[in-house]
Amino acid sequence: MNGADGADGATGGIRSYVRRGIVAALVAAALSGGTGLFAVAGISGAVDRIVHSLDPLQNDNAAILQTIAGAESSIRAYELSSGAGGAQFLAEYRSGVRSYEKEMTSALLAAGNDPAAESALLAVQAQADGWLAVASPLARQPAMPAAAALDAATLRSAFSTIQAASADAAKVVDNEIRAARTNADSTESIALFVVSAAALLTVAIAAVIGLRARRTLVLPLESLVAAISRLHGGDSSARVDPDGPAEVQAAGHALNALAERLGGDERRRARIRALSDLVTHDVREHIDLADLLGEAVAAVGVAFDVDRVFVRLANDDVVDAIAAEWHREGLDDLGPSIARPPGVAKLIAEATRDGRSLVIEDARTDARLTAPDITTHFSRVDLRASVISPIVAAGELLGSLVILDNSPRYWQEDEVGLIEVAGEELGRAMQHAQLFTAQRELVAQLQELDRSKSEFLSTVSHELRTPLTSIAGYVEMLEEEDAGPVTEQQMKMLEIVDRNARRLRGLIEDLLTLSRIEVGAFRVSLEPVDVAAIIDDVLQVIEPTVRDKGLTLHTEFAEDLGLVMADRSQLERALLNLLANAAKFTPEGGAVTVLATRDRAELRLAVNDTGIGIPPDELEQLSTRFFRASNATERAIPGTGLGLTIVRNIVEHHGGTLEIHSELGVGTSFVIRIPADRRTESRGTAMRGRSDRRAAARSATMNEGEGVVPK
Amino acid sequence: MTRILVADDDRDIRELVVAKLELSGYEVVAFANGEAVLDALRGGGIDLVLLDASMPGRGGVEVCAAVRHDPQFASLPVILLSARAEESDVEVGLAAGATDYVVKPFSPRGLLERVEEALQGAAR
Repeated sequence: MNGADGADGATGGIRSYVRRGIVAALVAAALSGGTGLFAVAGISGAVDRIVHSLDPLQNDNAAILQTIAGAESSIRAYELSSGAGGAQFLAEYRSGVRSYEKEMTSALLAAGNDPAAESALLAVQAQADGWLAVASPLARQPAMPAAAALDAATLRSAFSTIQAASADAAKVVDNEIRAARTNADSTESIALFVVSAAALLTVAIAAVIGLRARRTLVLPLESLVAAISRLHGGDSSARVDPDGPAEVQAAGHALNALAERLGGDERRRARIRALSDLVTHDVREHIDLADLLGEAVAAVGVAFDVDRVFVRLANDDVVDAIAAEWHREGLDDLGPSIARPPGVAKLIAEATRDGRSLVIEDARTDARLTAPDITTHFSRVDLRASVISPIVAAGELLGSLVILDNSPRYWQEDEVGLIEVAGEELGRAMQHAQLFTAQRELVAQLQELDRSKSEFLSTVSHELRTPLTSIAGYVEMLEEEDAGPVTEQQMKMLEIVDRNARRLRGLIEDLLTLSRIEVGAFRVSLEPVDVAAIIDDVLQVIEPTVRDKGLTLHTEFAEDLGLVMADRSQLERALLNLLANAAKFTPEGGAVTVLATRDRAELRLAVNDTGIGIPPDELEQLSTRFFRASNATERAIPGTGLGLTIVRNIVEHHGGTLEIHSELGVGTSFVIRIPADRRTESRGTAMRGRSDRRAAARSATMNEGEGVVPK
Repeated sequence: MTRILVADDDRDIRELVVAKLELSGYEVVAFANGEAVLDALRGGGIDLVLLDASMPGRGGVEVCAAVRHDPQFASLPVILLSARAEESDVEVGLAAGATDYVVKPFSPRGLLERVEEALQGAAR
């Protein structure tokens, strides 16, 4: 609906619109009817004249000639007659003359309005009068057959002049008839044209009226209906552009007003919803107190459409500093330092003591607010109407939620209720935030502690290695008699020092490994390694320990275990750890068995013992660092609780698993499973050469038979 | 006689290494830090260098890199001794041009083997 049409359509109501429509329809109808009537009248006039005057005139003219011809033959017969027969001819003549007179009178009457026809008829009458002047004397005298021939010639000549005049008259009337017909024809075609034009005009007017009706009436009504159905469907943003006749425009305005009200209600509901979302969800999501309060005051301010909202925090029961504030655009921040004078604080404390709010509708007329320090303070913060709610959590006053308006405001009961709910939820959220902050700080401290512990562990381990180098190095030189001969007694003592130095070294390596694991720096470098060789090496290392303790050592494995992708030193370490454990926890006379099998998919290394076993409820924790089984600590079996953590970690870095089966007093079985792809064997030789140098560097420490190996 | 230069700030370890090498028939020049090593090398007659990787001041890795920088020492065997056994530490040492990298605690016998290995490698 464009503006031009709108302005056009806006000039009147439906009534005036309908009136204009009717007028236009009548004009169209009158136009076509009038032209039709005019045409019909024209044609019927012409036909009328032909039928009612020209045709009878022609007939009368012909009849006159015939009557006179009859009269002439009667008078001539009378003149030739004799006796009684003459009287009859005379009577016929007289009747003929009377007929003529009647016919002439009728013809003159018919030609009354037609001067040409009348004068032609009068000419006929004049000739007829001449003929009568000849015939009449003959009728008045007795028959004279002798004179008959002469008289007949006179009569005939008189009759022929009548004949000529009659022919003239007939010609005149014929012309008249032809003219009337032509006239009627042209009137008919004009009438046809005019009627057609009128009909077209009528159709055009009807079309214009229809289009105008659509534009000015139907479209506005349609948009009205559309808006109503949108409103009905719950879309309160539906509006119409008032247009068309005054009544439809009025309906549009009314509909818009209704929609506005509906929308207002909806906004109000949305406000409440937003606020309840805020208090139940958004606010709780904020774990930072400043963010939380900032979000909360803004949400409350927008929801209640007020000038200013802020939160004052309580310190030592004195609600004071403004922690977060929001205000309508165009106002200034109050800043955190506007303190409440004692009078105001007391007023608020008393009003909010039982958790209720202090509600002020108009500070200037409120009887409670007459003390000078109160009025000064309120005018300073531009307070006219206000709701002040305490923020309480778990019985502790955390602060207050303050809502201000610069003009008087009647607070509805549900509004105050809602503000109080917001205050309560804010309290809960603040408590959460405080707890969370405390917890987060604790976690950060613990993380820092953990980090520095790992660092410490690493540093200490490195620092321990240097003195250990001297201890173990000199012991070795002494044992090898580099410094001269050693007695048997001295050698025994040196062996004890050496054994403990190795043990210390194992511990240091475990600690270092653990710190690597913890900082995520633990790596294995996989290369094809000979499984049987690893087992042999480890057995050589553990064999003296097992023997000294009076245990039997069994091994069961196929010679062709082949190559697997593994970190040789780490896999040795894992196996050695398990064997050392088995030896440590198996009483004298027991047995330790190493089983190795391999199939298409995996290598399986099992270490079984007949030791003290592990309490079933402790199996889960067994690989936790520093965890030691209760029966181990009870029996004062030495250990750090690091071994299995390291073994599991090594195995898992090989993509494998560590299984533990144990029965108290019967024994324990540890099973290492690592993926073994037969294809690695063919790659083996090529890769071995390449990594030789690094492998050698790394195993400088390992081939000394390290590990937690208590002897 | 084969001459070996040893630099380690820890006196006990330095003396341990010196004693083991001398007992094995090597002539040893010892330093307590890395500062004078390059000058001593330029003095001539050194067949192998043992450096503690992390001495105060000029550490062994830095000295090793400086030695390698000098073309006349391109094939001189240099062994790093270190208490740091992380793979990255070894990488750094080898990248600085060390012939070998021995992790503390080491056995004197084991170190002797590595020294002999390095000397044989240089002689070949």
